[in-house]
Amino acid sequence: MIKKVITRAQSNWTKAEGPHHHIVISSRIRLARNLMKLGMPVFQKESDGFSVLQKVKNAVETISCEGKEKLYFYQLQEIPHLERQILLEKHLISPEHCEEGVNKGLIISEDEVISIMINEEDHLRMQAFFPGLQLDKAWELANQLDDALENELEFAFDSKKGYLTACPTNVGTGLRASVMLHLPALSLTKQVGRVLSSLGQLGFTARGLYGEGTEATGNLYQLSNQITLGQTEMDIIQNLTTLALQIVEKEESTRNWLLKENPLRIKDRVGRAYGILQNAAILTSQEALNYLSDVRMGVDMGLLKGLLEQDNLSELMVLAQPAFIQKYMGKIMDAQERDEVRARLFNKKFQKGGKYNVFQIHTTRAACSFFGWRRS
Amino acid sequence: MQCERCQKRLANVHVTQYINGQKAEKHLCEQCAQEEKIKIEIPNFPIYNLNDLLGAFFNQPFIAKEEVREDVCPNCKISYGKIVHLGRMGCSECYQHFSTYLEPALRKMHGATIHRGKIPRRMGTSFRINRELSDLKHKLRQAIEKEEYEKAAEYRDSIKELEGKNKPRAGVE
Repeated sequence: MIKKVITRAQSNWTKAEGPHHHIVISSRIRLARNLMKLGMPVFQKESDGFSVLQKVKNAVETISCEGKEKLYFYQLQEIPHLERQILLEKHLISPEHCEEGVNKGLIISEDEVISIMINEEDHLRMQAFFPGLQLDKAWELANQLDDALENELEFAFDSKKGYLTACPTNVGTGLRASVMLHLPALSLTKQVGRVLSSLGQLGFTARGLYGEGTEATGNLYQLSNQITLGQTEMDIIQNLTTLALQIVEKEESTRNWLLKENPLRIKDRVGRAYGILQNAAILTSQEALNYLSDVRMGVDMGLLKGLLEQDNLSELMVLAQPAFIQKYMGKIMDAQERDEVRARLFNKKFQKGGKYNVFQIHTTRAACSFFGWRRS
Repeated sequence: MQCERCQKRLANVHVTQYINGQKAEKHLCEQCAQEEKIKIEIPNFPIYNLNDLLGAFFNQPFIAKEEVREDVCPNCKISYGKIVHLGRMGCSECYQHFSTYLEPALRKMHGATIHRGKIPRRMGTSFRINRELSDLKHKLRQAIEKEEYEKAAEYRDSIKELEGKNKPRAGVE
C-alpha cells in the first residue's frame, strides 16, 4: 500500500475541495498520546520503544477489523530514506520522524487522511488531514480514532493536567490544530507580517511550510494553536476557524483591491510566473513554489481561464519537492540535476495547461515515460 | 574577482566552509563550482536547538538547588535536571513526581494549569460528573457577573440535579 502513497503526488489534502480551499489549502488535527508509565521517546529504553510499537500495532489491527477505513502499519526502518522524505514532503510525517531511528512506526490509511506516527516525540501522534477549511471534520475523525484506540490502549491521563505528553507545551488536550494558508496578496502588500504577529497574543502561531524552524516558501503559512491546557478542543478549533476566516477575508479584499488598483501589474506578475514555469530550463524547488504561488493566485482571480485548473496546483507543490522528483525519475540526483529535471517536468505540465489530474509514477518506466508523457 | 580554479571566468560562487573551526573561503565561477559539485543549498536548520528555548520555561529559580536537579522520577529514573536540559519529560509519572516544579512552568506556557478538554472514557462516571459540575459552577459565576439571572437560574438547577446524581455514586467509584 505504501508504494501507492509514495508514487503519487496526490494526497487527500491536495484536492481542491472544502470550504475556502482557494486560500485555505488544508486543515489538520494532530493528537499527542502516550502510554502509561513507559518511557517517552527522548529518554526511551529500546525495550520500552519496542513494547510501545507492538502495543500500538496490535491495537490498530484490532480496530481495523471493526470496519471503517483500513489502516496499514509500517516500521519506519523498512521504508528507504528517499521514500520517507516523500512522506515528509506530503506532510504525512514530521522532519524528526524522517530521521533514522529504531522502533519508529507509521500507520496510514490508503486515502492518506489518517496517519499515526509511533515513537516520534510522543508515543503516538495521530493526524487527520483534509483539504480546505475543515478543522471540525478533521477533529471529528481524529476524535473517533482516539476513542477507538482508547479501548485498546491505556493512555496517560491526569485528572488535572489532562493527556500527558513528552513536551509540556502539548499537555492537556494534546491537540495541535493547524491550517495551511496561501496568502500571496497579503505578502505582496507586506501586510502579512502584521497580521501574523498579532496571532501570538491570541495563543496561535504561524510557521513555514514544514513546521517548526522552516521558512515560508510560496507564500504558504501554517497557523496553529500554541495553548493546549485550559481550553476545550472545540474552543481551540472554533477559535482557529474564526481566525482563519478573518485572514481569508483580508486576503480576499486585498486581492480585489490589487485587481482594481493595478490590474496590469497583477496580470504581468501571473503571466510571468506562468511563462517561467512553462519555459525555464533550471528550476529550484523554492522557485517553483514561489511561481506556483503567483499562478495559483492568477487562477483564483480568473486570470488564467482555460489555461489551468485549480485541481492539481497542490499536487504540483508536491511534485516540485526534491525527494518526489527523484522517485519520479527513478534515480538519485544532485541538486543541479534535479533543478533541470524539475524545469522539464513543469514545462510539460504548463505546455499542456497542467491538465493532468494524477501524477502517478511508473518507477520502472519513469525515464522513458517522462519524455513521452502519456496520460494514464 | 577571477575564479581561483580556472583563472579565466568571473567568480560568482563564493563558498565559506568551517572545518574544525578553521574558516576556508573559495571563489569559483559557476562552471567550476558545478564541476566541483558544490551544492548551492541552504543547510538544514538544527531543530533541536529549540529545546534550549524550551528549557528556559522550566528554568525556575529553584533549579539552582542541587537536590532539585538531582531529584529522580521513581518510575523512569530520569532526573529533573535532565528534563530541564532537554525540555522533555521522561514518562507519564514524571508529571506527578515533579508536579510542584512544573506548575509555574505550565502556567507560563498555557496561562492555565487545569485541563478542560476531552476525558478518556475509562475515567468513570463520577469523574465526569465532577468535571461537568465544575464547568457549570464556572458558567454560573460568569452569568452572575454579567447579571444574566435567567441563565444563572438554569445553571443552578442543573447543578442541583447533577449533585443529586453524584452523591449515591460517590462511594462506589
